[in-house]
Amino acid sequence: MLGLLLLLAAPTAEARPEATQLFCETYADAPACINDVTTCTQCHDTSGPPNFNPYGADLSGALDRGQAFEAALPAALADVEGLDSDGDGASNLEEILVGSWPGWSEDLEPECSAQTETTNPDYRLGGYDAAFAWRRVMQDFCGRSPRYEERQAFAGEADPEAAVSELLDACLKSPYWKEILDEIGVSVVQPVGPDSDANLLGNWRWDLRLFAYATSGGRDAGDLLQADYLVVEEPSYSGILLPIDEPRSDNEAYAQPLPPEHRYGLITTRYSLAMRVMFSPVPRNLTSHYYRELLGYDISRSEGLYPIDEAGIYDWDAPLDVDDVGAWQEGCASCHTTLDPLSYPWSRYEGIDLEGSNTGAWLEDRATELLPTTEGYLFGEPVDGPAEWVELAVHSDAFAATVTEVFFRYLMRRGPYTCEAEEFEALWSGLRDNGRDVEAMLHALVFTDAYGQP
Amino acid sequence: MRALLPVPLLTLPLLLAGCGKELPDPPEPLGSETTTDDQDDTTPPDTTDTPPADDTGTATEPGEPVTSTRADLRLKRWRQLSLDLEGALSLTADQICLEAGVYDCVDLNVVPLGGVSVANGVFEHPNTLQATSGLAIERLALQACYNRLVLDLEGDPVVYTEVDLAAGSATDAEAEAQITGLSRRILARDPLPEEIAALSGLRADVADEGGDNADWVTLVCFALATSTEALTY
Repeated sequence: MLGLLLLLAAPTAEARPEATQLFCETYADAPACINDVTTCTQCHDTSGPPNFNPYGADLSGALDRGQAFEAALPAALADVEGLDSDGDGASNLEEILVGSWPGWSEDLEPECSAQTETTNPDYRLGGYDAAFAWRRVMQDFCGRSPRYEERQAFAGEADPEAAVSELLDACLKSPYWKEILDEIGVSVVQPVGPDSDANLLGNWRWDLRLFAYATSGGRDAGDLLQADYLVVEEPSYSGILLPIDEPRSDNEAYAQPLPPEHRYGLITTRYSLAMRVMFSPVPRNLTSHYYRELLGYDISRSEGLYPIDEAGIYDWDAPLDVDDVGAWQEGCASCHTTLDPLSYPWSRYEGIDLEGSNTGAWLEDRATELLPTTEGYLFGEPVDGPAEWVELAVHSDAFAATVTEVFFRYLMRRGPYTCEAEEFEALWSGLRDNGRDVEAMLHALVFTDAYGQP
Repeated sequence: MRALLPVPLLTLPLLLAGCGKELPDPPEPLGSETTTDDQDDTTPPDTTDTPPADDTGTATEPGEPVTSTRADLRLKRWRQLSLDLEGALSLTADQICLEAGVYDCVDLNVVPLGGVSVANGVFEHPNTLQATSGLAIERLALQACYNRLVLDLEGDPVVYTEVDLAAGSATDAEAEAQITGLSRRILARDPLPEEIAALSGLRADVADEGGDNADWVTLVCFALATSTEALTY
């Protein structure tokens, strides 16, 4: 009902994707602006625009409608800083600066409140509980609960935290965890269709195997975007993953037709190219998919917008509209000024070739009439070709944070609470600075309070 | 999903009617060796007056265990549920649960049990309970407990070892030993006195429905395997 009332009270409401960036220009140091743009839900309901949350409604009411939106927003932001839009006792500015949400009173997060009493015979409340973490590690990484005898033995451990670490080491090698890596890979790859090497549209098993390989065994998760090798399971169904440089049979060559110098991890598998490039000269779906899944930016939610004004002839930032889809129009340009330059470097990769044998191939002259070069932009920085694109991507904070969050969300069933933001940043910065070793990150994760505090 | 302590077990209705096991007729009275006073003692404790802890994790009465402010327990997903039942009841994966005697319940109910399904285009792990999650979990647990019973009736008992499964009665010591054994297998701990009382009390309900020890141990297994403590971590 509240949402309905807000909707009725705001007949002029409209989505303003540029607002997420304008907000962060005003509050550059706010935790919500760590990636230079905030999300739509800063002002809108969780269902997205046009419904406002209480903060967005106050902000909308404060806007000077006689001015352009971009010019009016900073003043409106300042006008509502002293209000407490969500009624939780903290002003909007206070909430923005500490990283909670001015439009969401539930974001007070009772889970983050102090544990004032700790009397509990079964759990160590208010702090890291090694026994609790040990049981969770066995569940999360070995897939089962400890047996009665194992719990008795753990109770006598002289160094419980060492036992947690040893258990994690053992479980990371378990068949269970290998299967879970496949499941986590499904959320990133998003497979559709049969898993057959004879499939015209590719066999997504190659993608899942690469995901599991690159995120295990102490390897560099950057291979998710940079691997020039292929991954096979030998023997079949053994769970043992092996990298190979070249296909070893005609079937494998059909399934992965690219030579090593044109392979870039998950982006350029046959499945990825066939399903996401399809027939488009500008492979927007290809890049937006991995921009979302591995760099954390969902352009459809106005995340990760770094507009490049290529046209320079309109009153708004606009792309060149190289394939004549009308992307220059104001309503489209807000996303396409990021999305199109993001995609140009990948234009030489063929999607589906129904009349020949070039599905998933790299073709030197593909789309050259529209895009003479493979120059483009990622994070607002110029890149020329796929190699520069992935190099910038895998060394970014966005990649480290997103890979960490993929595993955090799988294990915790939620994102980090605001009181866990510091621990979470330490996790992903550790991943970034230590060779992007996911297993090392998981070792750190199980010793966080987020994981081990009951 | 906020409480960390084991929740009091509920006395369960008889649910074995759909499992194809014929109940003996006429039934032997259960608990015939239990005194009236003992039966009174087995009444499940009334917890309705237990004062709740507040949101700051503060106990409202001295000595009452407090709850965690965090308390973000997670429901076990499909493979975890299956592996736990396999370990607890010494069963293989294909002995846990089959739909219509043919299809693996875990595979068929993978999404309600928190998994992904490529075939159905479900790429994200559902992290909330779904309408059929409870049904799927109960089906898994009940079939596993029952399948263990069948195996124990056919050969040397492995799990239901402390009572005569064909009999309609058991001593208090036998019942307690059976409850303890199942608690250690399913919850990896010894039962609390009130849990022993509650599960012993279940025998009276089983007897009222004409059941025997075989029915009772199956329902004890089911009650433990579907408790909050067994399903979350």
